[in-house]
Amino acid sequence: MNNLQRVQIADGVHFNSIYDDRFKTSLIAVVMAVPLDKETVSPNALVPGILTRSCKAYPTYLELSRKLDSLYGASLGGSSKKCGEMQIISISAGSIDDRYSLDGEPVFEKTAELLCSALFEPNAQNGEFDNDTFKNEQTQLIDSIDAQFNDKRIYANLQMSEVMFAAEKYGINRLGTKEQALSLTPKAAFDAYENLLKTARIEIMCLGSSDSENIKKMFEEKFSSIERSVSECTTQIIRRADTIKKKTDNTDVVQSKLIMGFRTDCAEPEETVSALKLMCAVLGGTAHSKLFNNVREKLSLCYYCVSRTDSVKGVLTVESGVEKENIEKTKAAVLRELDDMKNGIITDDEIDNAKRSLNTAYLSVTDSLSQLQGWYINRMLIDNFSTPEQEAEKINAVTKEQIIEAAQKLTLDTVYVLTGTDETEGK
Amino acid sequence: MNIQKVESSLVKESYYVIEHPSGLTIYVHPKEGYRSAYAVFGTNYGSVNTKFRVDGGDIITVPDGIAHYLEHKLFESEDGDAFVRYAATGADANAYTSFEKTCYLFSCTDKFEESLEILLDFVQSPYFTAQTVAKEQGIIGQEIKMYEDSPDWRVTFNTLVGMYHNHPVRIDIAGTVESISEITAEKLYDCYNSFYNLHNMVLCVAGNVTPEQVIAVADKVLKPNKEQTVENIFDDEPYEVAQEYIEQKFPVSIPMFTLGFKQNAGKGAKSAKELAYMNILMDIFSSSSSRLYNEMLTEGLINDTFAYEYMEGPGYAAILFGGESRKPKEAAQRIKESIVKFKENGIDTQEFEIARRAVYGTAVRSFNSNEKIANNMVDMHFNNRKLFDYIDACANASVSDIEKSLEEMLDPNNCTLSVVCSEEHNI
Repeated sequence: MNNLQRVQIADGVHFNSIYDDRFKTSLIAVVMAVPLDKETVSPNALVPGILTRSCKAYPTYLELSRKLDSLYGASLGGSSKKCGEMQIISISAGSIDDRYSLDGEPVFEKTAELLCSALFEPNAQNGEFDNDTFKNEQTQLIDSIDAQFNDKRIYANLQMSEVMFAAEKYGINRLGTKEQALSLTPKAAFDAYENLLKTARIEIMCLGSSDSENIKKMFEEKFSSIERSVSECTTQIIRRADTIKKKTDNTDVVQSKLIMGFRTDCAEPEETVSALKLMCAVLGGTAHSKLFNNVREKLSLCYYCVSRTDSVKGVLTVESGVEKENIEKTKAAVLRELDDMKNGIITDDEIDNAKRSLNTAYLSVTDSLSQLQGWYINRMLIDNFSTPEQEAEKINAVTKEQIIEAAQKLTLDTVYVLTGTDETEGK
Repeated sequence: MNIQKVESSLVKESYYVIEHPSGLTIYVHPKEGYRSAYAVFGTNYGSVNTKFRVDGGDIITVPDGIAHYLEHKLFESEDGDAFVRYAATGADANAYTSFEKTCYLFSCTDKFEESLEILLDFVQSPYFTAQTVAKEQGIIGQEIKMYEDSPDWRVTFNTLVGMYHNHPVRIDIAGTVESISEITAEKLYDCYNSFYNLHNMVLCVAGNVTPEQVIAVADKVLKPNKEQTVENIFDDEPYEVAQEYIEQKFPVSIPMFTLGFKQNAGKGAKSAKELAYMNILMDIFSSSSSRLYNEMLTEGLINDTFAYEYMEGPGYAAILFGGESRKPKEAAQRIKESIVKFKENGIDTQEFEIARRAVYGTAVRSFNSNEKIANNMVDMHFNNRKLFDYIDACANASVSDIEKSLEEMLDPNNCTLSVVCSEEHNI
């Protein structure tokens, strides 16, 4: 179970597979990592949409959708995400296993073929994407950028990110800006696509009970005709904050959002990352954490008050939704809990509980194909191929002293508040 | 004790139905090779059950939002908080309240029996005092305000306000800050004693678990309940929608809409077959493989957030379409016109076959996840359906089967359009 097979099939391209016959489905993803850059982020973000909306063989979305649905509702989709200061462009496909098709059709291999042709035989001519497909996807991208404002929790996090990482690439929005999206052309998008195929570090990940040998060969053959030169990706780590940045934005909201950003003075691949993760769980990662028990349950200040950490970048954030008049009170309460941790006021129960919670989270990963896929892709991107079990073991080995040290290393970098306007007050 | 094994040769799955002497029906669905297990303990009682009587006694009317409030308060028992108890087993616990049911759940990878014991015990041990009830006002108040800031939540709830004249489905599940201020310990006990009777509840477990394990814990912890009859009282609800259009100004950069078609609620929930046929029909009509979806997408009336859902419960049934749109009124008009044409033209056999496969594939996929299996079993139980009947109906559906559903499915003259847009948007 969960044995990862990994083979290099071209310069900077690996084919990874996990054979697992416990599931009803199989999955495959092509993950392309490039440096996160202001100039290329929008054109790159457009590529996965264009590639998964049509291809040479199925030049309209209607035709492609019908092909996928006739493969028992197979999926084909794309995304643009960040991992540290890398932009991660993925296209992925999934289908039910051949064992469950009603007519014995090899559903998964056909789905993987479709993914392969989406990637290598796009709906393009003379170095430009098909104009209709491009236009549609450009609109989708602009809508997605606009929609980030619709959800105020997402919006507050993005705004906080812009303040905290104003001078770092990490502050670049995963979709880019609306202005940039508007200025794109079918040619610019196609150039971005070619650049991804030539320069991205590429991980192909295939999971399920199907034989992946043919699929591997298919990709190997396609990549053999591409001249590749892989670009190096690095993430800038700012270990400590010198001063505290503060920003408050006003918009028409009923509930204020408070987000505090900390530098962790620790990041992948350092060994202290396990202590950081456990410290974060004790602080505010579970329904028995310090923030949950004290800020929510004892003080009744909020419905949610949670901490999370991005160990690739070396940051930790605490976020909560509160009444405007309780913002300062909540901030003080969060800092008090953190001070307690720095001063070693942590019980053995709190530590053991957090360890058990993280164990449940890690070990559950192996019961879901999509979580397994996500797990290994994230591990690959940081060049650490450990299994969920191994990561759980590392967490279990963390001591109280290491948790205190991890807490002591935190420095507050940014306090961001999104709150109502005077007009909202009256509502 | 009656134990029955139910098998499906189609998806190669099986589960056990156990009629426990305490009065509780228990479903156990073992998943071979899985490491985790998921358990959900639910009562057939949700936010719409605000007026009722037990065994022909006096009619009891309770404040809006009380079912959800009860869900929060049940976690506290005389001897402490259930989350604290779960912390010792490492289970990931939660609960949710919907219009028609309240469910308490956990997932775990270790100490299953201990966690199940906690679940069954705390749900059977209400402890409400003036003090504990007062403490929750602030927390739930913030939960309500969080949803007030959520445009997708608002756009959906406004649709229900527009569709229904009297039915309590038009009121937010969590109630309002005012309505929850009327909740007392006594009222919570009234609701608890009426609806948290084992005959009105179900326990569903899926994953790394055997029926013997579950029965052993049930034997130890469940306190037999006397059967009682709860009569839910709903005011008369006209067939026609209350309002055809409802708009709310909101800080969004792209408007959102929901078009809700009010249906005849009928005598009870749809059968597994009816549900399968309706899903196939809806897939033909408005999935990404439909003409309607692709036309609207190309013309910029919708984007890829467009989706539909069916909702039903005691005294209400509706189909909702929605997503982001810069032209919500045009999108709504197009959907209504397409319904008329769709009914005139009848079912295209090729489109039917594509949809049948897609809906079947989705049903196959649901058997990957312990969480989905267990929650589907809860729904099936409360609605008198059987788990495998649905997938069998998908696999065996014919054009003539679904043609019967076509006529009654959507009434273009009985719908509500709900729009959320900013002051700047000219809808």
